Amino acid sequence: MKKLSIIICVIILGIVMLTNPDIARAKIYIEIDSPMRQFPMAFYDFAEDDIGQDLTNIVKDDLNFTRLFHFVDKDAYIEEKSDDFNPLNWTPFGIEAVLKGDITVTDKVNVVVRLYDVVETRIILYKQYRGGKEQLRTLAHQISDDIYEALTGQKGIFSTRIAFVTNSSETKQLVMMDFDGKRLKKLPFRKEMMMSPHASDDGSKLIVSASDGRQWSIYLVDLLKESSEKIFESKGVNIAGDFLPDGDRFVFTSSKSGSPDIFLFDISSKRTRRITSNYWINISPTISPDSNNVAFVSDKSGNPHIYIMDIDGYSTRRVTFEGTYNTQPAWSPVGDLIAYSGMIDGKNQIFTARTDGSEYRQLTDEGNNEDPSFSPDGRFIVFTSDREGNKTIYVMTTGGENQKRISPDGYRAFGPEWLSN
Amino acid sequence: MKKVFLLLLVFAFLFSCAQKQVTSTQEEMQPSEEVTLPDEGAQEAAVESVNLGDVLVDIHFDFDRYEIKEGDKATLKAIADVMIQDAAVSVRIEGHCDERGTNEYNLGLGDNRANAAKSYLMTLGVPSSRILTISYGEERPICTQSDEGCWARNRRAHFTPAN
Repeated sequence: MKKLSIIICVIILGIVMLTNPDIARAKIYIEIDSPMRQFPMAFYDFAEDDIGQDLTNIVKDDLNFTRLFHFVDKDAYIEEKSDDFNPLNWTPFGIEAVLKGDITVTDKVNVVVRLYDVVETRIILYKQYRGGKEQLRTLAHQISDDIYEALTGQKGIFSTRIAFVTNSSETKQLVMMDFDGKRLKKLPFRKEMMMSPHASDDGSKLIVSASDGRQWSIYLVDLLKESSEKIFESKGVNIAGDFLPDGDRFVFTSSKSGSPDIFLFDISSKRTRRITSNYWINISPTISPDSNNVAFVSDKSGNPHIYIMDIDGYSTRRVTFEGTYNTQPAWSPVGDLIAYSGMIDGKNQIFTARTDGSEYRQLTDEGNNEDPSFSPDGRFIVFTSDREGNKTIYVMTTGGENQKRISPDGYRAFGPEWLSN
Repeated sequence: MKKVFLLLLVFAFLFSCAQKQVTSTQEEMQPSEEVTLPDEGAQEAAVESVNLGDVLVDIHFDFDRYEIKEGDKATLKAIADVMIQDAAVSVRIEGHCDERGTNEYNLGLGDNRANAAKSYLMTLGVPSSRILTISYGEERPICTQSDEGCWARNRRAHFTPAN
C-alpha cells in the first residue's frame, strides 16, 4: 500500500537530455565488479537548511554504503553551485563527476539533480523529483538509485527493504525496515515462535513458518495489504523455503510423512509435489536464479552439509566439505555463489562458496553470525550477529568488508530477508 | 472399572504435579483421598498408574544427534509399559535442541528426536495413533546458560500426557 502511494506521489517530471544525444548510450564509469579505486566526485549540498542537509546526508550515506565513491573535499571546489558547469574547474583535481542538486520546499518537496561527466564534458543525469515532505527518505533513495545507475549501469539497492523477526517480548513479530535500518515498521503478524521470512522476487509477499505451540504452519503474508493467511499445514514441522521467480510457487520443508523432506507448493492450485524422499533430514531449500536448481541442507553424510540438486530432486551433489555443521544456504540472485553459516570452534560464521564448492571463504569471526541473505544486486549480505550481545541485524559486502549493525542498538532481531524493493 | 482406574491415574498425575507447586493447591486436591478402590485388581493397576507422572521423564541426545541412547531405553520401556497397560493413555513428545545450531535445522533435528522416541515406543508395541510429536527446535530451552551442562539438558525429548 505504502509502496503504491510512493510511486504515485513521487512524480518524476521528466528526464531531459541535454547537449549530447550519446546520453542514451550508457557509459560505465565504475566497473563495480572490479573497482580499481573509489570514484572521485564532487557533491554539492542540496541546500544549507535542515531539509537540504537531511537530503544531502541520506544520498551521501547511500552512496557511501557501496564504498565505490569518494566525495572530494568541498574546499577544492572552485565553481559555485550556481555557476555553469566547467570541466576545467575539475580536471586538475582528478574529479570525474560533479553532482549539483537543488531543493525547494512548497507544499511539496521539489528536487532537481544534475550530474556531470567531467571527462566527456556532458550531463549524464538531469532529473526532477517531487514528493511529500514525509517522503524525503523515499525521494532521497530514488535519487541515490538514479545516480548509482548513471555511473555503474547497474540498479541500486537504496530503495530496497529488509524483512526480519523481532523477539522483543515472549512473542515473535515480523518487521520491515529500509536497507539502511531506518523506518522500522512492525507488520501485523505475531506468533509465539517464528522462523526467517522469505520474499517473492517482486517483493510483494513473504512466506514464513510460525507456531502457536501446537503446530508449525506456513503463512503467506501480503505486504501490500498487510494481511496474512495460513497456506500450508500438516503434521510435523512445516518450514517456509524459497519462492520460485514466478512468485506462484515455493519450495518448503515438511516432515508430514516422516523425517523432514523438501516439497514444491503451487499457491494457485494448492498442490504439493515432493522433491526429496529419504530417511535423512533435508531442509532449508534455496532456489537458483534460473530456478533449475535447489541448494539445501542434508545430514546424509552424518552431519549437516550444503547440497545442490535439480528442481526435480535428481543430480544431487555436495557443496561443502569443510567443518561438520553447515546450514542456512542462500543462493546469490546474480551468480553461482552460495552464502551459508558454518560452525567453527563452536560458533556459527558466515561463509561463501561457489556452487561447485570451490573458493570457500569465511567472512565473519566475531560472535555468532547466522541467517545470510543477499541484496538483490548480490553485492551485499544481510545477516544476524550476536557480537554485541543480543542477536541483531548486520550487513557487509559479499567479500565480508564493512560489517556494520543496521538495526537499532539493542533491538533483538534475527532472520533477515533482503527484498527487491 | 476402567473409568475408575483412569480417574485414579489422572488424580495421581495431578497430585504429583500439584505437590511441586504452591501448598494452597493441596487443599483442593483433598477429594482424591475419598476415592475408594473397588477391588484388588484395580488397586494393583492404580499403583502402577501412580507412576505415570514419574515415568514421563526426559530422554537426552548428543549434539546434532537423534539416536536413542542406550541409557534411555529403560525410560522408554517404562513409558511403553504404562501405555500398553492403559489404552486410554496418549502422549505428546516434544523434540528440543540446544542453542548452538541454527534455528531451522534445529527444528528438523528436534522433529527427528521426537520421531526417534516415537519409533522406539512403537517397536515396543505402542500404537502410533496414541503418540503425537512436535518439534520446538531451540525455541523453548529449560536452561539458558551457555555451557555444556545446560546444553545437555536442553537436548531432550520431553513427554506430556496428550489426553
